[in-house]
Amino acid sequence: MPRAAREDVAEIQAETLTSTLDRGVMGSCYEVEYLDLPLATAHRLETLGMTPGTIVEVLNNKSAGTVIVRLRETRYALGRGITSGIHVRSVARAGGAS
Amino acid sequence: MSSCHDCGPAPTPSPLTPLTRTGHPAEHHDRPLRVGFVGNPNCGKTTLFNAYTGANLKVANWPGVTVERKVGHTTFSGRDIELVDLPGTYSLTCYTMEEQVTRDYVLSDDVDVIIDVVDASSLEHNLYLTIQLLELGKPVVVALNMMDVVRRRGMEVDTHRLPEMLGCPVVPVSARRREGLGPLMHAVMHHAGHARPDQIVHSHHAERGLSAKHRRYAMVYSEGLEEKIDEVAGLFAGGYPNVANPRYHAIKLLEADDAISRRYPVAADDGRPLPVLERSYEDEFIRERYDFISEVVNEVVFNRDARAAATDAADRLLTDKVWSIPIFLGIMAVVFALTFTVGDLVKSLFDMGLEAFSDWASASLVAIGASDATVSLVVDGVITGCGTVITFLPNIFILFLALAFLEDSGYMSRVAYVMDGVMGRLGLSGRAFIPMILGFGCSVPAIMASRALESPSDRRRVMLVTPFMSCSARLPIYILFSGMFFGRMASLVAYSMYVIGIVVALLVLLVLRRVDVASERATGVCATPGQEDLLLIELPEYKMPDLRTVWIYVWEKVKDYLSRAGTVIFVASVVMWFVLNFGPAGYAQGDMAGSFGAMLGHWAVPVLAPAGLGYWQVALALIAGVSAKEVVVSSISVLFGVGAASSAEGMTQLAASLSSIGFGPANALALMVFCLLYVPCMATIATIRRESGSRRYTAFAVCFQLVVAWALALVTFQAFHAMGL
Repeated sequence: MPRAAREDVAEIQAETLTSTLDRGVMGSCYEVEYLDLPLATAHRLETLGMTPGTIVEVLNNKSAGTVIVRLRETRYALGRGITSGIHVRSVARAGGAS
Repeated sequence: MSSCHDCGPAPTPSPLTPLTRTGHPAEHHDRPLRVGFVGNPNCGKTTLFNAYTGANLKVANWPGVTVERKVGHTTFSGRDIELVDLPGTYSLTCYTMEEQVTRDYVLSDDVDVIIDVVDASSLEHNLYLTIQLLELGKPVVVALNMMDVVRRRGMEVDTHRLPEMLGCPVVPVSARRREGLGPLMHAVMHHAGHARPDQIVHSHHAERGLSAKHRRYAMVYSEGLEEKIDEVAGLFAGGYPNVANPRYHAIKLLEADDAISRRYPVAADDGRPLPVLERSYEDEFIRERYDFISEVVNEVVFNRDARAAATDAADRLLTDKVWSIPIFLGIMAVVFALTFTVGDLVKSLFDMGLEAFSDWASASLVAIGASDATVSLVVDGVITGCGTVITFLPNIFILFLALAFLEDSGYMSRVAYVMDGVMGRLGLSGRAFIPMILGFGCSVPAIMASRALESPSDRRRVMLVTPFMSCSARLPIYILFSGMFFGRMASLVAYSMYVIGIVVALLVLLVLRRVDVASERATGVCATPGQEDLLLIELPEYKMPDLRTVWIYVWEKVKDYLSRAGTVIFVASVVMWFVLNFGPAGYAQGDMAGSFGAMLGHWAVPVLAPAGLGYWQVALALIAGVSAKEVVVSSISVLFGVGAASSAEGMTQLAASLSSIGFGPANALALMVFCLLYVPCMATIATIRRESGSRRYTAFAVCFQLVVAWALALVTFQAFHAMGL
């Protein structure tokens, strides 16, 4: 495989592993890596338990990036302005708690 | 047991009243014990408050319903207890006005014991606030609510281990079933004055040599943070010897809490800024609290993976990206169809009752020799005016019954998600749609619910358009005029008013958004910073509506409607009768054309004529309708002398009278559109003034709504008139 193609594949794989929550797939679980959001919004999310290492499950995702997640046994609807700033890593484990 | 009153705006406080060392609250037996209900939104605080006080405060599972503190009273073991219901909050760091109300209260000296209401089915997420409350150093009792949900799901909570780990009493309760109320209040009485924690048994960070702290505090942080807390707390205690709990204040200072930092600046001994306070450690505090919470939950909650499968399944359909909006519109259509059809069936009985009562009152007054003017005042003024409004009660009842079922089922908070895409295009989050939905009931609480929005500019935009949503007071107008002029299409025409209200509100928001964007482009300055879609709302589990909660909601609305009929509408009917029966020449003997009312109506006719409303009677009814929208209907009844205007005969008679002055279907449509969009009532104007804090904004909102109403009524009338309607 040519080097450029290998790099593309690696990039795609990396993207599927590490992404933002607005790209979350319905029914999948993700581990929160970090929040890239305005300070007040980030702290608000953290007080709800969206801390690094927490597992969130995407229950629904509109095409615009507004998602419903299960976070620490509670459901939240989060707008795209928030989900696009939540960096996550795909995890295989099913379940909502960290 | 009990009474309850609305405390109005938050206790003037003291944004931050210090936790003074003086006095011990529990020792003051000459005054009631003051107990505050604090907890996350939707954890059952208001239900618990209602259970103790016998109050009928509205309970809901979405933000913005309890926006003020409410005070009630009860007694226990002979001691008077003042109970305070507070808006829900997730933490003691404030992001909205309603959260500020709660924080101000718990930080003040106004509270002796805090009841932390915790949703046991979502313990992990509720304990964050619990830990912050424990850090306050005030007596805290945890009410472990919704244990019935825990059992139903097959989960278990160790209610013996939890108090050991938190160092405070934990009492299982079920607010809905009124279980555990006695033990909870017993714990409150017993714990009053016990600011120090009960015995704490856990091993959190014990290996780090912090065992002395573990005996005193439920939440002990890592060594690094504890060192910082000790350093700041020491300086704080020296600088503010009369303020209790230096540890709590040190933590808030290290979190760079705005209000605490401004009120209690702490510097080094030489007056220079403390290096340790140069950055915020809030992230670290939050993470360590959740580490501890995970430890607690792992020890006390069993079978945590049990979930509400029914809610997940329902959400897949109700929040589907394609079907969610059609389903929402369908549900609202069903609500209004029930309102018009079932409501009308019962209304006919009310109409017959009103006619019979009117005839009886007239005959009785004549029999006792009352003058013609007195008979006319009572029968044509009061009974016709108030009675006509009361005959619409069945429709109002059905409307609120349906809305109450939707609210208590958990669906309404989903609407924020469903509408988020649409609202996002208008520069708002879906959460802004919630006050608008509340507007279907009454504009006053709807405007107050805009407090749940974080941005002041968002609040003002939402306050501007919320009155465009059809409140229940407009319903009689739609039923009357669509019934008179549109026959079988009446329900459809009335429903279309609700849709027009939503569409106009969204269009106005769109225009405002465009203006903002154009202004940003022209000036290069972002006028609406952070206007990305920042929706953040908790979605409760779906459940069967609780009949008591539904009854409270419906009864309060019905009571409010009846009380308006007995007050505002009564006064308006009497005033209307006087201005129609008296003129410059005195008592007009039934000749309304020369009355003061006719003069006032004629004054507004030239302005309203292009919109098809150029009749002095209609103009007068619209002017009177500013006091309350139902007054439009009562005024029309009084003006045209139709006793039971909502009955089939009354409608025929009234339609004939209106037709005789040239008022047809196009005029009726224009009238309904005007009533939909012009200022709802004096109470709403006062609420806008209070919530915005600006007379200028209030004046703008009133003028804006009048102009929009006039313009849309003009377009409606001209369009349908041209079509020959």
